[in-house]
Amino acid sequence: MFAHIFKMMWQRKRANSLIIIEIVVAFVVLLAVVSFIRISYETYSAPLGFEYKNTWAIEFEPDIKDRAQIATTAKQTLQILSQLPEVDDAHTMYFPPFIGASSSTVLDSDNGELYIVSTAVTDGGPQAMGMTLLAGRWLDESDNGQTIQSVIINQRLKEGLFGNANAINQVFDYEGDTKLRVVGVFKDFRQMGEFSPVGNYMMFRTNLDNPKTFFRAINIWVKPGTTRNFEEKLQKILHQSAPNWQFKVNTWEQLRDSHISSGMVARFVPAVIALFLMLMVAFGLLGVLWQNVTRRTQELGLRRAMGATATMVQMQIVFELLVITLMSITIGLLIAIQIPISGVIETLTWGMFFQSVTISTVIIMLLSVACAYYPSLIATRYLPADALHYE
Amino acid sequence: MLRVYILLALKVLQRRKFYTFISLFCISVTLMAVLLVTSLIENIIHPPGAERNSQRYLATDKMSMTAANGRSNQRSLPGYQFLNAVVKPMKTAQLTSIFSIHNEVLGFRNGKRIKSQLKRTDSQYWEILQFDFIEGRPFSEKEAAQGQHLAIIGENTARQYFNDNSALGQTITVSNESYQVIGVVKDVPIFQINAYADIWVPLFANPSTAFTKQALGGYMGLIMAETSVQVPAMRSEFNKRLSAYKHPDPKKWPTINATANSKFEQFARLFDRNLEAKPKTKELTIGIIAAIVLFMLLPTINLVNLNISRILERASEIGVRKSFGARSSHLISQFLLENIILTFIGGVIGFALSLLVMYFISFSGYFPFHSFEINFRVLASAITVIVFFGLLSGVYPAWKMSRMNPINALKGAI
Repeated sequence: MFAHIFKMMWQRKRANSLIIIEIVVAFVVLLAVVSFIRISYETYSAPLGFEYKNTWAIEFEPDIKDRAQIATTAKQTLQILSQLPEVDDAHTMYFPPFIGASSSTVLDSDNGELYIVSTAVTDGGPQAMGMTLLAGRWLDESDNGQTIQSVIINQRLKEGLFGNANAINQVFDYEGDTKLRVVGVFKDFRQMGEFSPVGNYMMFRTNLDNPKTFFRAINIWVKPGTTRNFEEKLQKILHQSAPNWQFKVNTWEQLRDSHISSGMVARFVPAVIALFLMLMVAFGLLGVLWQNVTRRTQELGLRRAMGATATMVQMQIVFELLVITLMSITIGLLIAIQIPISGVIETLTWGMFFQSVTISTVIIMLLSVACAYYPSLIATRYLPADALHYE
Repeated sequence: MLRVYILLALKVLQRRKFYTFISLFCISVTLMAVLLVTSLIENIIHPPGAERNSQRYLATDKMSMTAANGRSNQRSLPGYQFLNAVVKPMKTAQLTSIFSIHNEVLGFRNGKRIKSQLKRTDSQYWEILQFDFIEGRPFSEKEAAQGQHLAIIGENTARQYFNDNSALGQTITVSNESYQVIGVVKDVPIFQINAYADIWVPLFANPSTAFTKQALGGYMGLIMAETSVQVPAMRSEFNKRLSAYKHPDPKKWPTINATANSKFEQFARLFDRNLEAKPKTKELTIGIIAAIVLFMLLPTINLVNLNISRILERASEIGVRKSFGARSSHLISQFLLENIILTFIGGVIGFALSLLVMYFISFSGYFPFHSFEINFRVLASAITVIVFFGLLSGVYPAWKMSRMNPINALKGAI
């Protein structure tokens, strides 16, 4: 029966061309939104590589005339802070995580361009953040005064630079004439938060005895149970240690919350738009099909007269739309498959693409069955007698 | 004749309520989305409220310095030193202002922490931007130059600090500096980046004056002409002064780039980091229109499909009219008119819906202090959308209808 309906619909493809175009566009739009959400889910569920509980970020804006003494002032401040009863540990960083500010470089390597995000922390910072070391060691005192600066890199960057080879103590070319030595490989550090793409990451060592060191944040690890009321006391202490600096205090959890909520909104809006578009398409198909069925009284009545059961007529109407939908999905797929073939979107793997195609296909098929259901029910109500005195 | 057509159209709409509902749903939801987007963009590029004179001023809010080797590059907001040398002496400008970007500051009131955005401004700032003062006044040139510790605060901040009491004459302490409140203004949304802040204080009410020597970072400039006609002259003077400007350390930073932007150019530059090139306003306009047209593609095809179904349903009516000598052009114009009436009703519903959604968005506080405003430009875009919809979804079905064979149409078989 299906083959027969397919043949009929193939004959009528020109008459149905507008419906086909509509479903093709709907399918492509749905596939785009589903793929986007699928990719987001992938990045969201990839491990962050660090803990964010009980950590506070202090961003500061130093007074211009103090710029030369940032490191000295910060060193004193770190000391004062780590002596507070509420504070377990304190470390500097370029920028706190989750806020979207970062330092980045593009490096030419044998495997093409590598986009690398980096930061620098004082010794012990990675341990405090709960990062995982896979090979080598963390940065420490022994990296002082080396001719080639030491760095630690994440697993992905290690693979990008050295492939499967051993990376420890390897030296690679960095910006201009500088070279860097890898002393450790860590699992990951997704500074920009869950919704940021998984990428290459590199961590330098901050030596507070070096006056040229750059950083704009101090992170403190507070005792569990410390409330936000501690900030008033903290601000006073900070103000005393650096009177002309501006300080901004946020907990990492808070920074993460706003990262997550803005990330969610950025995915919610296209989803709502897609929902409305699908609703429109569904209503549209329902309308078209309804009209279509009313016009076919004669044909459907005749089929009943020749002994077709109500279920068979109903199946015919539903299958007709399903065949059209399948034809449209095939066309839509031919268009959409160009994206993974050309590799425009790197994060979209074939696996994710096919999952998204499956989800979109199921949604569109369900949609068309739902749209065809009511018109098909009407079709079963035609009596052979109606068809016979139609004219 | 027209009256008959309109009456007929309304009757047809009432006949099959389900079709009418679907069409109206498509039209109104699409129009609502388009209206929301255009209203948001319109609010950014032609802001109402404090920045309502935006046609007459240009903002300098981006600057880059390139080192002699051509590779090292710093890019940020301009610094006070640069603005003071380039923007302040402008002759074609009637008013010039230097002010800082908003910075987050913290205050405490009865142990409760209050976060605010603080902006440091000069006195001409208050003449260029038209803040609505609820009470009090802006600070004078003298007060600004002396760096008196005075503050103008937003309505919301006033409520946070002083509840419903008058804020005038009260003292507000943020980030360990105290200021006396001399004015309260209506709040400004973050889209108006030149005006946006919660607390405004004089530039020189700063514990340190080190910022006056810095060429890059932290400040913005506004130049305002007497009328919008003089803006191009102001632009060319700015460029002349920019090329004459030398960084205090000219050996290290020989190349300086900065721009004076209208609101639309400021918006376009958000998507393009290249300061040397002209702002891509044309590309942005085309991009926005293309995105809207693409978004409307699906609803339009949907309407075309629905309209074809409707016409087939009326085959016998068309057959009768044709056999009595109605010309194709009559039928086409009748159908187009019907369709435009339908889209117009959908448009009105969509307009009402968008007002409702705008109200909810404002109410949700997702864009603090943002009030959507619908002006004639937004309305014009809405009408364009309606006409586009009405014509595009009507033309093909109408043409198809006009080609019906009357005999077949009368028989009901097409």
